[in-house]
Order: sequence, then structure tokens, then C-alpha cells
Amino acid sequence: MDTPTNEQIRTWGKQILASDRGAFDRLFRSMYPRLVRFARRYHSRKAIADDIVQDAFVSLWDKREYIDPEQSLKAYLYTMVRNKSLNHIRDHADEKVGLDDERLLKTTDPSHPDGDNGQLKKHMYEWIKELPDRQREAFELSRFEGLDHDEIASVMDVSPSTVNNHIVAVLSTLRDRYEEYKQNKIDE
Amino acid sequence: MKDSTKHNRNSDIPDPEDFFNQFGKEERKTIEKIWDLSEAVREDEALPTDEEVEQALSTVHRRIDDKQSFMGQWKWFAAAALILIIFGAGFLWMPQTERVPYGETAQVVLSDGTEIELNSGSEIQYNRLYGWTNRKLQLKGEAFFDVQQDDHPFLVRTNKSTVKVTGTQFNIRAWGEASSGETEVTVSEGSVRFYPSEYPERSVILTRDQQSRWSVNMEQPTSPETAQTVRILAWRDRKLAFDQQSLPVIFKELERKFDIDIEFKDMNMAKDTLSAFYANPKGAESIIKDICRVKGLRYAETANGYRIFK
Repeated sequence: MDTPTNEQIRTWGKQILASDRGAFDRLFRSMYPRLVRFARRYHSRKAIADDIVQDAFVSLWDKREYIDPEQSLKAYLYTMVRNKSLNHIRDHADEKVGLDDERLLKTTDPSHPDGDNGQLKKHMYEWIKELPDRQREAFELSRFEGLDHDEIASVMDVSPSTVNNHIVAVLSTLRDRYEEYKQNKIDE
Repeated sequence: MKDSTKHNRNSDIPDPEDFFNQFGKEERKTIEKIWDLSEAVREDEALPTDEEVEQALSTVHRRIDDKQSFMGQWKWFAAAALILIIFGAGFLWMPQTERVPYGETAQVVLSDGTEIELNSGSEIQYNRLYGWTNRKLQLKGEAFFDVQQDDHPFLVRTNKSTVKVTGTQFNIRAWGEASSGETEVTVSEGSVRFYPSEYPERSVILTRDQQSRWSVNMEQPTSPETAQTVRILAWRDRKLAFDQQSLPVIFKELERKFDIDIEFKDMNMAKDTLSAFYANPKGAESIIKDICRVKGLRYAETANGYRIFK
């Protein structure tokens, strides 16, 4: 999955503003998979994540005349997916989640011959999962979704310096965990 | 799905130097290492396949087109209304129909913002004055309603029964066949009044997570009972749920969902019921296989579906 450049996305934005369905399709094909992956951080049920992302694209098309090509369309899509996901969680907080047969991650297979790296990866996954929500969101948007700090700020509705603080905090936490982990390894 | 650049901070984060410069020289090396290591975590997450992306894209197109054709009709209606002032109003009473083919579901947004999700093989009809002078609908099949608050009461008529609401969310199941013209109403939010159309006084009031049924041979709708709302609404997430349903009803549902024909003539088993839940139904055959195993039946493939026999 190649990441479209910001320039490319800006061009698509202008074309979509002019009701170009082809540009909409290209944007969809390039962004849908990563947005679904992002939505699945909030919902382990794939059908819900799919629906939320599809909803976001339908609203994007409905509201295309309001697209500002100078603003990040990528941030706009992530914002919609994040808001819809959080709303869904809020509205369905009392539902049991016993119906899932799908899981977010193919958790690292222990038999996987990755050795130390595989183990470290598994730890890294746990460490990230244990982070405070806001910090984790900021970090994931930066590291996994490739958004810049200004984009993350608008997605999370906070200031860019808060985003920076979150990410610095995450990296410091992860570093501490990593040092502990290394120390334990040596002690073994 | 790996990024083409090894360290994608080069491409994605402007002025990466600035960011990492926040850390001391020694610290910075470890932090950069952590940054690189953390990427591996993402690689483990499954991404939708190309096929799934294309499927999703066509769903999105369909939803966009549905809305647009509706808005298109709306503009046309406004123009037509002008002409009608001159030529008479008879046309306004021609009903508008939205029908969903087997194997698909659809979402309809009405002029007042009310959203309706229609299950496969279902149909709604409404008058062109909907939203102006009334909010009346006819339903054949199954639909989930998210009704906007409005001055006009919202009325859904099914097999000779009516559901009346103001602003709420509920599901109606009214497949004329197999269930002797039964209508089943389940409320997921707010409340509704449910009654035989000819006897509005014999009504029951349903609130959140309550359900009632009525068919023509009944005096009045069953008194409200607690419903497994999540299961009832499973179809909206493309899931399948059967709660003590008879085999003909289940097969009919599979026909609609998968757009196939199922031949089932064993009348001795018509009263047999079954409960089942599929969170991620893969196809008709695996479900039919399960049912046959449980009920001691056999099945064979036919030109456009399956024949099920003892």
C-alpha cells in the first residue's frame, strides 16, 4: 500500500470539489484500507469499522462543495472516522461484545521463528496497548498513519504542542519499557 | 504494505530533525530506535484486500447514488409542484416505491431526515407529499427506522397493522409469507404505539428493547416482552440471527439474503424450529450444511440454489 503524497491528495481534493467521481474513487482506493485499519483500533468488529469508514466517504462526497483544498483532506477523513468511532462507542457502551468472531490482530504466533525480534514485537504491541488513550491515539496517528503534528492536532482537536507532548511522553515510556526489557534479558 | 522508505519519518513528518532534536544526544539514539521498532507492530495488522476495497467502494457508490436520486426526485418534485398547481393534483397521490433486490440491503433517507435501512427483498412505499402533509409509509418485509422528530406523526403500515411514533429507532419484520401475515416490532430507542390498523384502540406501547407481534387472526398485539434487540438487528451488520424460527422462515430468509432458490417440501418438518447466529456468514451453503446436520436432513445443489430433503 503506497502512501499517496500530500500533493496527490490535494489534487484529488480539488477534483472532488469539482464533483470528479474518478478522483473520489482514487482517494477511496488509496485511503480506505488504512482508514479501516485505523477504525479497527476502536472497534474489533470488522463490520462496524467498515461501515464507519464507508460513512465517512459518503459524507465526504455529500459535503464535497465545502472541501477546502488548502486544508488536509487526510486529516479531515481521520477526524470523521475518529468522531464516528467514538460516537459509536458512546452509543453502544452497554452492548455486550460477546458476538465477535473476528479479532483485531493476528497476535504474534509464538511458533513464529522470529526469535528475539518476534518477542520484542509482541512486547511492543502490549506496551503501546497499555498507554493512556490520548497518548496512544496521538502516537498511532503519527507513527502508523503518517499524519504530521498539525494534522493530528486537528483530528484530536487539541493544540500541536499537546500532540508533541503526547508523542514525547509515549516515546519516553516505550524507551523505559525497552530498557527494562533489555535489562531483564541480560539478567536471565 | 511496507512503506517504501525505510524510516518513514523522512517522508511523513515534516522537519523530523526538529522533532528528534528535543531529545539529548544520547537519548536521541534510543528514541530513534524505539521509533523504528514500533513500526513492526503495525505490520501485523490485517488490511482489507483489494477485493474488499472494491466491494466497499461499490457500496459507497450505491449509497451516494441512492441519496442523489432521492434528492434529484426532490428537485423534480418542486418543479412539478408548480406545474401541478395549474394541471391538478392527482399525480401527487401516486406512491413512491423503494424496493431492494434479493442479496442486497439499502439505506433510504427521506426528506425529513428519517433514515430507513431495508433488508433484502423488502419494499417501502410512500406518498409524494411525505414530509409536507403527512409521514405515512407502507412496508413489506423488514426494515430498521431511525425517525426524526417532527410535527407530523410517523406512521408505518404493514400487514393490516400500524406503528405510530414521533422520534425513535425501531425494527419491523412483516414478511407476508410463511408467518401468516405476522408483523413483529422491536424498539431500540424511544417508544412506539403498535395496533391493528382497523382497531387503533387495541394498541400496545413498546419502549426500548421491547417487542410485540400481531397477525390478522389475533385480537390485539402480544403484550410487550423483552427482546434480544442486538440479535434482531443483526441483519443491519450483514449478520444472520435466528431465534426459534421455523425452517420455512429460515430458508426464506436465506433466499432473500443470498438471492438463491431453496426447495423444501417436507411438510412434516415445517414446524421444526432452530436458533442460530452467524457473525460473519460466509455463504448459503455452509449455513444449509449446518442446518441439515442439526436436523438430520440432506441437501443437493440445484441450478439456482439448493434442494433440501430427508
